[in-house]
Amino acid sequence: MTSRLRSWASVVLVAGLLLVACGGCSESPTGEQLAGSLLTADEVGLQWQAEFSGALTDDMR
Amino acid sequence: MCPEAESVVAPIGAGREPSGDWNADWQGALHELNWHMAVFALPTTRSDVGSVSLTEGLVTGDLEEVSSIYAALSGGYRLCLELADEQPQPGHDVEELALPQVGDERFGWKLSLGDERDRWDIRWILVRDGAVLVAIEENEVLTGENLLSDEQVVEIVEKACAKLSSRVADSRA
Repeated sequence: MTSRLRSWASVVLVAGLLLVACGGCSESPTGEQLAGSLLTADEVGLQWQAEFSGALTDDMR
Repeated sequence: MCPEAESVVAPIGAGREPSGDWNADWQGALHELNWHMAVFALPTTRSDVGSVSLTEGLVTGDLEEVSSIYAALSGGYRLCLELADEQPQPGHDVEELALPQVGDERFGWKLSLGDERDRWDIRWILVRDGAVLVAIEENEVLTGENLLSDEQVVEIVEKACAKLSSRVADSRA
């Protein structure tokens, strides 16, 4: 009986770990992460000049 | 019907009235999303160039929602390409842009309005990378040769996707 419980516990533990791992993979980036992911003028290259960088606000839509 | 040029650039621009059936499906959803944008201008002394601008837009959300928005948008643009082939209009050229394997799904097109003497060229690329949409739009209002080649615009798309992947990976490490 004890060994059967241990087996079930192992299955539950592995399933739990898989769920945590999958949750991490599909997690959406935060707004802060997106803002930091935007290209800068230097990164774009040529002689582009930045005019705006940030979150689009309601009055800009 | 294929959307007018202003509606084509609307996903990362100001709110506009839907101009076609498929617009109604995605436009409302797009304006609900929290876009992060970077806007650039490219100064030039060329007299045959009116203006050149570049916009990068990033948005995230639920993976299913982002995937469905990507599908609606790319499906709409593909429809436009088919219509342009079937019913070509003078002064309205549209073609698909070849893209490298960036993100999970990608679509790009080039729209040219006007004629050789007075032209508005738009290159618009949409990439879905996981639960993030990357939209890149490059605009050139000009009367002569394009300032940027397709390859240069695609290079910018690659840089945007590489930076996004790198930043997101760093933040999860």
